[in-house]
Amino acid sequence: MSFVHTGMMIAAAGLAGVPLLIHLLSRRAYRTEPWAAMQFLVSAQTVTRRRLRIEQWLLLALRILTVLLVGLALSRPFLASSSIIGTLGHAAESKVIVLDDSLSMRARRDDGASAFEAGLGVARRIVDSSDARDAIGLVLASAPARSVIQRCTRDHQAVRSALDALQCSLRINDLNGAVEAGAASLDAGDDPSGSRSCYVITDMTAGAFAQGSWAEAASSASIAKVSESVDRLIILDVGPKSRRNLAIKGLNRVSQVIGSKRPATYSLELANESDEVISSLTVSIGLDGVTTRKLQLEQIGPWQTVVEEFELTLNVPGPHRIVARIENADDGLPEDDVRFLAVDVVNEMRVLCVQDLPTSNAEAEPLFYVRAALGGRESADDRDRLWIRTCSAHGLASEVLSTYAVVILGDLPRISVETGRRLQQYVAAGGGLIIALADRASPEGYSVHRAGDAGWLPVYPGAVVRAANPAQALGYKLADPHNSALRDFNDNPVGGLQRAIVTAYREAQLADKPGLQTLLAFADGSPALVQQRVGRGLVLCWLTSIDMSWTNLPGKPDFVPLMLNLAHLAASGASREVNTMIGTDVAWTFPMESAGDRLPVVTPGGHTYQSGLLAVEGAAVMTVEKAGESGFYTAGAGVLRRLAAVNCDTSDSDLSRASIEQVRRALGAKVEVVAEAGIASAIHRTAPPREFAQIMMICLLAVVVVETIVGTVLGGAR
Amino acid sequence: MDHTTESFRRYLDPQVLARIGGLDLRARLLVRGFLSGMHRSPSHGFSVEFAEHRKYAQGDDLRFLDWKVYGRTDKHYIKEYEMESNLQLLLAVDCSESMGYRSAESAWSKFDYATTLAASISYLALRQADSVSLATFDSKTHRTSRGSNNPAKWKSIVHELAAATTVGRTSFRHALDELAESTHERHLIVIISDFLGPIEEIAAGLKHMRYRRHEPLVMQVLDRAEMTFPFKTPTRLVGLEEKDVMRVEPRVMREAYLTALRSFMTELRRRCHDQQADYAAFDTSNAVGGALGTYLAARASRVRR
Repeated sequence: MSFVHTGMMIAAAGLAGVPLLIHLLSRRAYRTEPWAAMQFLVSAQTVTRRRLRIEQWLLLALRILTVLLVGLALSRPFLASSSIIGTLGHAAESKVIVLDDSLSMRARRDDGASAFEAGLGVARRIVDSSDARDAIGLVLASAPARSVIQRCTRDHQAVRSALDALQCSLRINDLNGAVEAGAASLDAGDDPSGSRSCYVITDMTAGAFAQGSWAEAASSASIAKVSESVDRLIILDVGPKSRRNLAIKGLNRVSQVIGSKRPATYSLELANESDEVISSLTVSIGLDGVTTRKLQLEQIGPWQTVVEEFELTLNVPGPHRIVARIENADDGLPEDDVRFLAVDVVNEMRVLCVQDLPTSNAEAEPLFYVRAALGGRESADDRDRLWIRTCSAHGLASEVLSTYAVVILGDLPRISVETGRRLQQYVAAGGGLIIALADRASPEGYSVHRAGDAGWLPVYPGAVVRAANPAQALGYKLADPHNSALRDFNDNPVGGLQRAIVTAYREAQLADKPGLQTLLAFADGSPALVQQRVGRGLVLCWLTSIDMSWTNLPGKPDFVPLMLNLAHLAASGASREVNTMIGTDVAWTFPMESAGDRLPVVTPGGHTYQSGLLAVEGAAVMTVEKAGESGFYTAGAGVLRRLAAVNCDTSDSDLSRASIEQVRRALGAKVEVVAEAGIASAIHRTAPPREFAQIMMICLLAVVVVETIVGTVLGGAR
Repeated sequence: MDHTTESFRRYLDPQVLARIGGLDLRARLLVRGFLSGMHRSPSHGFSVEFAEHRKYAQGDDLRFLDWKVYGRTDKHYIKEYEMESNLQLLLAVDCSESMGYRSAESAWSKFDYATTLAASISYLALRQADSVSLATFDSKTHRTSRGSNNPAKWKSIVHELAAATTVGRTSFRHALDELAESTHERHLIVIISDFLGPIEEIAAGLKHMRYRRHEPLVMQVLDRAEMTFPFKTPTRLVGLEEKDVMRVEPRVMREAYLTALRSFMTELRRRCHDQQADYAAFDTSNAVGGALGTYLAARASRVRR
């Protein structure tokens, strides 16, 4: 026999001595009297001794038995149900069902059902086969793992209702977190004692048990804790037999989209998550609902990932939907055979150039060449329409910054505190800021903005570093060649960026901020162009002149596209496009004057609802929290139209089955792995040990009644 | 008032005195004595005990005419009584330790009761000019005074009784044998004790007395508590003479104790009857006078028959 609360039984065994102690102590409480007629007592005692002894022993035994029964009942003994006594008792079991509802569970099995649907069926069978007194909990294993029923409960109808409301997600799995949550659910249940089982219903993909994902969660300590909380940990494999899968892992814009009617490069990342060779694969590319091209891939080797690039020209400004779809995947998981990309084509951009008052020599102005590169060109096809406005540093105070997509500061000597505050607000709201720091910029004029956490500039100008002679002039090198603004210039010696020279530059004192990126560097490794995201906007700092005073870059052919790219890059904070993953928030920014309005939102499933715009840090923001559908979300209309592409996380695209060793390494040796054929018997296993505390309580009541009667009949002996 | 006077007066409780003052103590057996009085003697005369019928002769006291015989036979007969003779009374009072027992509810210890009883009897006897002597006993007899019918004897008897203490263990065999052998003359030996001892010894002692032609008169004095066993809670009883200790559960023991007590008293009464000894039991919670009067009345009634 075992006890749920062994300590209670030990305490009861000790307390059972109390009646005996009382009996012994009470002997000392006898009243002493002198007596003459002892001879009659002797004969009386001979007659009554036996009876008295029987009575006393009987009462003592009843009282000790009472204490023992109380302790026994409270300690909740249990025996294997195979014993006769055990069958009298109650079999309390606490179960938690961990149901994997991650993306991979959508894979189709041979019977046509998805692994998730099969898993739901198993979960329902577990509930249906449970004793009415069993407590059941429910945890979902897609990231983030969460308890649907936090405390194991005997309300089985509530569990069934929760199961009926479930749908498979598009998220990756967090099986480790789910098993821990399951163990916590068992601990918090109504009946944390007794047999405790954790049923993990999953397709057993290798990725779910990969060592790395489990290592993050305090590894062995976490598993040890789970082992303590759970008597049985059972993995029920409901995954498909065929684990072949193809997946589009990524659809991205490679180069900057500068205006409409200009081709841009896109990349497609395709993975073969199987050990077969995939031949003759077709991927269709759709633009705004129309298939524009089909990419033919001759062959993808086993477990191989390929990247295909293609060009698309977006002829109309505004947000566009690009969809890549594998047409003949013939795999079990179609959800990762499609990928969505939102692209916003900006034809018209307002740029504010701020510099000292113009001099008589226009070419001496810091932003002369930038203005020439960005705006003022009219072409037959109006491809690049950037409206440029120039003002002085003094006139900046009267400009409404929010009306500009980009503000360019041309080698200003200083930025006042007030101006700095306005610029910070502007960038945080989604504006783009380009700062050129050359001869005129003074370190003191910028250092005021670096005080503590309020400092928002990514870099502060230091001393000027000059080449001793032209022969020692430095060149540029791409520090981040994959950046969308610079990719066009990678391995392009003809364009001249990497042939341009710099005779002087500002020494950079980089602010210690996370996310600071160096895009361009000088040949000696010093940063030439750095970028820092501030709020929703971007700050780009150019640490040399962007006129001809310190560099000959403006004379190179790459200068114009570089400036255009940088302008569009800086303006991307205010972009109308959002590309994100399932489960994350979709946030669009709107002009500040829209704050408080309500705009329609359309989900990928076609559901429309109204959502409000909130004023946040200088912009009006609309948020779709934890986007749950893959596809395109749209908001607003007309000039306020916004687009977001939400894709599923294809980290789980590899459906290959984990080995038993992998599972045991992740979950410990106690885990049982049950294939589908064995699920029925695993659920209906021999009942756990049965408690018979209720029987004890009945016996206790009977003993108490008997003791009361006996005590009364015998005259209320002590 | 000195101790003796107090004892004297205590024993002459008016109520006690009132009850026994009108009664005669008459001996059932003939006791040869040197005083002629109301007790039986070998000579006939007006006696307190019926001896025979004789024909009525003129001048006889009509008080002694047996009217029952006349009613049956129409003849007149006079009842002749044995002449009362002087009684030699020996009062033997148990002064063993057990006699010192007094329960919480009692005003008297058994010894106090016994000495009161003894004093009452001695007074009555002395009034009748009987010779009274006193002995106390425990494991042996302490003969403390010679017999005398001098009324002043009573004071010395009272004094001796007052001076006696309850110590020592009882041995009825020795004590009763000594009492039986203590005098060659026939005595009415009034034994006042609780008789808490082996009944065989008591019976043997009575037999010895009868053998020596004495008339034992057994007066058993018991405390109310000894007769009812009133304890309610578990009690440790400590023997007064044996010093043994017994824990008792009254609820369980009472019935058996009382049965044993009644059985003993019944057996004692039977043994006394066998030896032609009177037996009377006295409860210390009852007034001495009433009990003694009840006894003397019953005794007188038996003598007249």
